[in-house]
Amino acid sequence: MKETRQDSWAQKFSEYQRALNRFFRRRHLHRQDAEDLAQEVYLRLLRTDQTDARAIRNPEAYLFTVAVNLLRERAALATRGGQMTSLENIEERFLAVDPAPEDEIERLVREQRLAEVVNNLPAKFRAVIVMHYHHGLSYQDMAKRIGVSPHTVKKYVSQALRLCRRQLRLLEGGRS
Amino acid sequence: MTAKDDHLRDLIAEQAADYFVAHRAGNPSEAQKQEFLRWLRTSPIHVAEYLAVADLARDLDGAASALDIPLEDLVASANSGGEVVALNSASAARAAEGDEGRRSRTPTYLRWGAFAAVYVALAGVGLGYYFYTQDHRGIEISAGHGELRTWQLADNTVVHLNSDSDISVNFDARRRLVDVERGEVYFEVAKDPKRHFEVRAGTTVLQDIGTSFDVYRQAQATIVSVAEGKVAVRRGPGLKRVADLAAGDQATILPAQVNERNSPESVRRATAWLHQEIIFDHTTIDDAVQQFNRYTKTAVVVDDPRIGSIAISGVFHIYDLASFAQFLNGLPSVEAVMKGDVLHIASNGGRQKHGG
Repeated sequence: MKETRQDSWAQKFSEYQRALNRFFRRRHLHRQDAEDLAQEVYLRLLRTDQTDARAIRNPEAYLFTVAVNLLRERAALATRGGQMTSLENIEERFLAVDPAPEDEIERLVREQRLAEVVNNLPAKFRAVIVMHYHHGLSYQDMAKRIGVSPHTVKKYVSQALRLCRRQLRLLEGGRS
Repeated sequence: MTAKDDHLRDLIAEQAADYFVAHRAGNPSEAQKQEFLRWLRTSPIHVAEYLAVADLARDLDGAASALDIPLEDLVASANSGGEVVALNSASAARAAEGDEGRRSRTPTYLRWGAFAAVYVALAGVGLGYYFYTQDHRGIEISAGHGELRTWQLADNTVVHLNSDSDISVNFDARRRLVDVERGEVYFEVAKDPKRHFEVRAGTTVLQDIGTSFDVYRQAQATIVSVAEGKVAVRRGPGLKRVADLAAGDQATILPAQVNERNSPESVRRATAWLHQEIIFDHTTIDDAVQQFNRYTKTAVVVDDPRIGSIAISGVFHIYDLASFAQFLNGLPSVEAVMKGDVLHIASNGGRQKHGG
């Protein structure tokens, strides 16, 4: 049961990521685009019927599904100038697995910046982030090793994510 | 983006991170799913922040691996406390100028094969700052009402901000300058023989070389309490040197005069907030109430002026208004009562209390 849920999330999320990368390729105003995208996703979520079974079964995967659909539509418009095209064609272009060189450089820049942000986190926050994302330890495993409750570990991870997000926002904010 | 927007955004980001972590931890209940869906439907910012934290988590795979810190070191550092929040504003300043390719201390932990390519891609803008990566330019740090914040600056100086405080930080190759715009700040200054450390509070400038001291900027006066080292106080248009303070000294700087005294006890009281304490030593109830009001959401008011001048002594936690109320109720002629959101301190009319 748990596996299924995780798989579904992982699958939806990686689809979303691929679509997002394609979408942002050759675009410069990433931040504004990201906000516009969120706005659109939000409007679609509002239109979701309260009893929509998919949304209720796994709201998170549903969120990514909505985002992917939107990104696909936008990509279709952008690549074909609004012309009709076969869905197969879009999928092929849009969900190609090989990353473009620009994407790769941009990803490395982002990672470098984020690595610096993580390195400057308070020691225990940095510790849980690197343990979890690099060493692959679960919340339970980390709790045992550090000698705190899993609940506390979750708090650390959550706080660390929030601090990273804030720091990145400051960095991005200064650039736009 | 205004400070208020930014604060709101930060709150939403915090909730997004909580949900994200909860989702990774295991199966949410039906009620939790519904709650999350409702939360997402609150505003586009909620959606944006959730997508952002998910994106961030994905990038963390690569970023955390790039740091490549051994597991044993991580366990050790997680246990060592480390409450200091490092402000990555050196890179914020660099990024603000669009030059994240420049760095003087190339970290050994960054070891991508394509790292050189990144450098090349981003080089081009002003390499002049390359050697001055310890610059902070116009970085602003704030602590809201009831918040205590600690930041580490690029030169390893640590600043502690008390409730309702704002500072701005400007470092360059020649000097390190911090403006206390309002509130109270405790500085643990890192030594740097090449660059003076200066703290400005209005027209007063404090100069020092490696020391720890507290600056409390009030409406009329600025109070400087020195815990370690030496501080020179300068003021006015010519920055005339008006006092030299050493450990245990406290100076009250008023528009027309500077009052100095050596009182390690006063310095200890002035810096008790670093341990989230308020220390009263023959302090009037009026002053005590003023101190609590710096931190609490609940307003505390003294209804009877005769009560306000009573002197009290004791140590309290800055957020623990309940204990303060209990303490006051223990005094023979005082009554502290919560009415709505306000703690009223009044005279009980001289009635004798039982057990009081």
